[in-house]
Amino acid sequence: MIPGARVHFASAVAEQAWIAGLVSETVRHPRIGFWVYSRPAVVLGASQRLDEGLRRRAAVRGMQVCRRIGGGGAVLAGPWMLGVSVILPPHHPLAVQGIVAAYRWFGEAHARALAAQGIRCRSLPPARIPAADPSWRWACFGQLSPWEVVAGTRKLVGLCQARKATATVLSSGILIQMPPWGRLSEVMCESPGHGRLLGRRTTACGHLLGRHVDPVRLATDLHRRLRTNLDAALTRP
Amino acid sequence: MTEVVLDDAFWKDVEPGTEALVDQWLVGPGDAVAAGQAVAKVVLVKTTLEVTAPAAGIIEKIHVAAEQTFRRGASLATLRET
Repeated sequence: MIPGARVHFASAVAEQAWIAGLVSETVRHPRIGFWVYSRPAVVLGASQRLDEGLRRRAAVRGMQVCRRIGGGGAVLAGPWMLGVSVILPPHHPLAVQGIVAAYRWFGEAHARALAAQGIRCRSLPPARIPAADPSWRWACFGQLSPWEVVAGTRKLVGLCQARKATATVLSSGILIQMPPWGRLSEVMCESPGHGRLLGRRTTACGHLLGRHVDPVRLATDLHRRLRTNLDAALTRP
Repeated sequence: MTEVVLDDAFWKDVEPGTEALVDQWLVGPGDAVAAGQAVAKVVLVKTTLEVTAPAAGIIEKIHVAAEQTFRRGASLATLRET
């Protein structure tokens, strides 16, 4: 059995510490964590470099900065985002399937949970992903990857993954409200125009529905869907 | 000599032509490694992966440096088995 939905009201730094603690030894049982971020933070992808200049630019804007376990570009975490992490034992059936197949079940669960809130969105198959633009490599929400969730052409959910000998980690960031993208481009030393463009490439639950979306309610529904996937994989012949 | 490659299973459902990035080498030339030891971290389709040594031995040469990209099947390093 998987424990019930646990929603953490804490920082992205605490989230990464929680994940690092779990994967520091072999994971025996699936874990699912949801994060409503208590303060803004720039969360770099695993291969992005965290230097003193970046840390200083974040600090003067009242933001923390950390690196996540998964790959991709930087994310601006904060009260406008719901973070989700699924940590699987290394031999769980959903942890040993292909990388893209793992994104598929994870992304589709998000799309279904968002649709249940009244949001018209879809999880994009690889064939529908535009060619990668290297100039946007720095920002997760600047481009699309397989099975990420969009409303129309605008990105709503970003995904990433990490596979270690001890665990597989699938993580997502769901835009509940539109983030202040300009702050991310400032910290990452990109032009103000990049911040404005991020605003045009993305959308958020609240923006789409014209009302506030309760992240805890969304987390509860998404938890049920993720748990169904995990349980079904264990019983599949 | 044995070549160190990213496990082909990781590439099985990735679009042909996709490149991976070497994020970090955990060992260097001349280092002794055990079979199955993680020797590098790489990123493929926003997924962080570990490259492991296929056998015990000494790392002879690194072919793809950190922050460089590589394609499916590429040799990342050469290992002299011990």
